[in-house]
Amino acid sequence: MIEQKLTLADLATGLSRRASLPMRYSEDFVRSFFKVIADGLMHDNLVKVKGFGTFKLIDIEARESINVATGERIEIAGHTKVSFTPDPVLRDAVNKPFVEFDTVILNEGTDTALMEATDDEVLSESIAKTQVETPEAAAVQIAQFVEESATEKPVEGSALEEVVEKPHQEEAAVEEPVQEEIVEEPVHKDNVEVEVEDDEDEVVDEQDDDKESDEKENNNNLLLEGNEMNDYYDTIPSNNGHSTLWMIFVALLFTLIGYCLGYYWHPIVLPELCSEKTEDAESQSKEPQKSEADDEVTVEVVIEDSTAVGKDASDIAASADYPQLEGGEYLIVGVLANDTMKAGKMLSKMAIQYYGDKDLYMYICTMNNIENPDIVPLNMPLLIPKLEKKQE
Amino acid sequence: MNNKDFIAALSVKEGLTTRDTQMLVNHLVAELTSQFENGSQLSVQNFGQFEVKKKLERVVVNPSTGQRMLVPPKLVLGFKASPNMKGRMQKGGES
Repeated sequence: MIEQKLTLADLATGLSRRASLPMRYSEDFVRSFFKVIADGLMHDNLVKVKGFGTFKLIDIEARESINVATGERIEIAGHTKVSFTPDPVLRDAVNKPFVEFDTVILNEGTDTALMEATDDEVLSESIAKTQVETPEAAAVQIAQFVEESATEKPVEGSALEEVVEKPHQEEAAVEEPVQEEIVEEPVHKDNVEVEVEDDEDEVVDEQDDDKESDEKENNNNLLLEGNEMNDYYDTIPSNNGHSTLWMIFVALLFTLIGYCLGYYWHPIVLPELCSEKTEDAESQSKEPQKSEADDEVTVEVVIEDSTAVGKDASDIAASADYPQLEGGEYLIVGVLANDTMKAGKMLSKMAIQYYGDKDLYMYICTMNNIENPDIVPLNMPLLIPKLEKKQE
Repeated sequence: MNNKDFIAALSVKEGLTTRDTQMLVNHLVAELTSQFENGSQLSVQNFGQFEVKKKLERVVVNPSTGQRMLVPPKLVLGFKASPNMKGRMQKGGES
């Protein structure tokens, strides 16, 4: 490509060679050519030259602008602009070196400026993948859940007395909706969600109302529920991204609830059972067991409390009057302080606070008849025992 | 002013027939085209400057469909009026 700065004279030379005109005449002609264009523009605002292009006068209205340096508002006066649009023939001739390039519609981002588009595509792909996976996974999880509840309930039913069982079920039932709500809060819109909630409520209701005799029914119900859910998955169009998320969500919800049920029935119920037996053996009052599970512990504590205070009043209390930790290094000889269980507090922290040794929390447990140090009701009054090293 | 008017005006000015004028204009345009094809720059006194400029490739987005398109690089012939010409158009253009 020979880049050259041409003048009118050069153009005239070219023309004279092409048209075999005398140089003087061709120069005059070229000059006239541009002069006529200019004149024509002044008269008509538009001049079209075949094969060359169109000259146009465009009026530009006055507008306000801001001087970048000073921030002053300035007015750009209206003016006339000369525009030139090359004829398609000329335009294509000029663009010859790049004529093989076409405007490309971009499907997948190949440019760094298109990273967003690429991400979106990747995302949708992954969603498609999960769509394929979820129905199976969900089915498996539901099956697990059904199994879980099926195995848990008979154990519970055979092992527990009705009286004890009922409050615990209530507890679990109370726990369920709370858990649900926590998970559900961010999203409320979907119908599927509402349906699931309803199902859960049904289960809860039945648990509340019915006793052991209904357990088979319950299980059936759960199974039905599972089937229902399966039906959901069948009916929901699998290409919908939203529904996929919901499937995952529902499946997670089920496992969570299953876990919760397991968690709350296991550690609370079983210790309760054990304690019941021991307490029976000791022929203590049966009131606590018959009352609601939540109150049970506190009632006992109150009883303990009164006895403890009574001993305290009778001056030097024999260490035998206090519950003792078997195989412990220390004897509980009195009440050091009263405390209450608050959110965020731990028995081991209290032990550090009072004794400077977190391992001594066991004595607090013993003193307050706490079977599972991991489960202490909120606001439960605690007696911090006074310890004395055993003398041997 | 279309091509016919332009040829007529030019022929009057040069004292030629419109056919001859058209022939000469065609030759001139052919010459200009070949020059611009070579990427040459042309400045005409009291008229303006023609220049071939390269436009880089760019990505455009169709606002209604959001479709992205890659526009290839291209060479474009641009025109810049001379200050003299601009001044004359300022006075004469406002009819």
